[in-house]
Amino acid sequence: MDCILNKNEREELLLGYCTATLELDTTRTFERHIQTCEHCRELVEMQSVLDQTMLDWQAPEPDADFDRRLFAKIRWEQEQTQPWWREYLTFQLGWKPLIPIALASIALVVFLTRPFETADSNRQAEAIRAEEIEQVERALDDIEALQALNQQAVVEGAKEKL
Amino acid sequence: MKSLLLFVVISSLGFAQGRAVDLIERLNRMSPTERRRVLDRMPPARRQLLENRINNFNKIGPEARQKLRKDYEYFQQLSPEKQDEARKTLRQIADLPEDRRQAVRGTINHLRQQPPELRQRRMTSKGFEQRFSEDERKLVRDAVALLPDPATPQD
Amino acid sequence: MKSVNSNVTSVASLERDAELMLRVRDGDETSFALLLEKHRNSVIHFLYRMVQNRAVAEELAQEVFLRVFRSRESYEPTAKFTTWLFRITTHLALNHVRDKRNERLHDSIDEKVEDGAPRQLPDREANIEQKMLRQARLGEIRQAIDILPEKQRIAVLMHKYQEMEYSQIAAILGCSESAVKSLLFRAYESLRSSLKQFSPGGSGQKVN
Repeated sequence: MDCILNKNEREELLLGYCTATLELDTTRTFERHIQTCEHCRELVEMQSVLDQTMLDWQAPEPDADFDRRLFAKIRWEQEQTQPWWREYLTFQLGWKPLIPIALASIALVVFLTRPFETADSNRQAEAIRAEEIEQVERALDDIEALQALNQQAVVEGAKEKL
Repeated sequence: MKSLLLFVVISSLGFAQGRAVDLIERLNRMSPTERRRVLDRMPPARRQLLENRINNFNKIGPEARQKLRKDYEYFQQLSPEKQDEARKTLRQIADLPEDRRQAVRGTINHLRQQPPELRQRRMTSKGFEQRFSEDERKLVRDAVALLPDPATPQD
Repeated sequence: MKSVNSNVTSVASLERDAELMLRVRDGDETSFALLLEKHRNSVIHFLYRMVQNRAVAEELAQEVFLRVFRSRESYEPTAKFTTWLFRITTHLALNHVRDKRNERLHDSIDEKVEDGAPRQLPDREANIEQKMLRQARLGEIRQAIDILPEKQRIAVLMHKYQEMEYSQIAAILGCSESAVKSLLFRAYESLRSSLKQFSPGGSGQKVN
């Protein structure tokens, strides 16, 4: 029995069905159709195999050095175009090469503003108990678990998509 | 130097809440002598581990740190029960074999960035069913429900 | 009819990227790092599947993001950020493909990736025969994708791996939605045909 759908209709429904992007009503209608249309049923099977095969094609993860190389190129380009005096005045937060400078600046601020050792400080030190250190460690546990979730797959594997 | 590292971690992560954060800041306010005294009360291995963990965060790139900050802020807003659920789910994911762990994490991260309706469709699709076992699908669903990407609108 | 909410949330989500890019325009380089973190992998993966060479894909991706950064001062959010991003990506990919048409080196599925990590397929079945069948199909599909006409290849990679909708692919390729559908239908038809030999009753007859 010939399929009642024309080629374009069939392809569009097929792709929508296999990517689960059809509206619910349309999905149900198409499912009823493929129960009676062998042609479309075969196409769905073949498309499913194709989808599965394409999903098997995993792209490798980027080199760990990718970002560093990119920023180095950007920095180089900027240096070619920036007047010399701007280089001294530009303070680019968030760029790894400048973190030591940021740390040194923070160190200076902390050094200049830190309280001298006083009885208050001593009491503060005593007041930090073992259970509080445990709280810090628990916070770090949570942060590390979230970081592991965010971290991209290591080089031996690859990210899989649905 | 350690206080600076702690300071940079907290400053760069931008934590605005949480007692643990306050404690870390208190450590920063101490002089090095006091801090050493406090931390030296810890067993040496444990103290070293704590310092190493903090040092590791200083190696995180700014973009990853920013994302981590948002995730942690969101996590802190969950109820204690939800936090425990999330911890359990993340632990179970971490216990998976490496290839399955990567697959599950990758899918979670992908789904987290989708709008809720599209995410729901993906999680009910044939592809999703084929790709993962029932247990893995549950882990994905739980993780996505508990920890959506704070940067993606969730309504 | 698609729910309004879905469209609203999609638009809102996309505007965040545009918002970040506007901040980059205003000199905020942290926002650039955030955009890079969010989109780096999808750009690289798309390029990898286009050119089937990891090193080339990464070099092209570097150029993509360099161009994004260079264009920051003139950036206007007239389209979705990812549409703009992938226009740049596609442009560079096509240039490369056309320039290197006869010189392109292929990563064979039988060769190790440059970093030494062997290519892996998901290993859910213990059955060796099934694994070999999957590998054979994968090799076939990679070749079939490689010989697709360029626009069909771009369309199918964006549709399948970036999960883009017809409208966005159309905006990237600068054509109509119906043209995109036509590209995709032909592409998928070709790809299904390439797998015919693996189907149990494979008669070789083309199913349209």
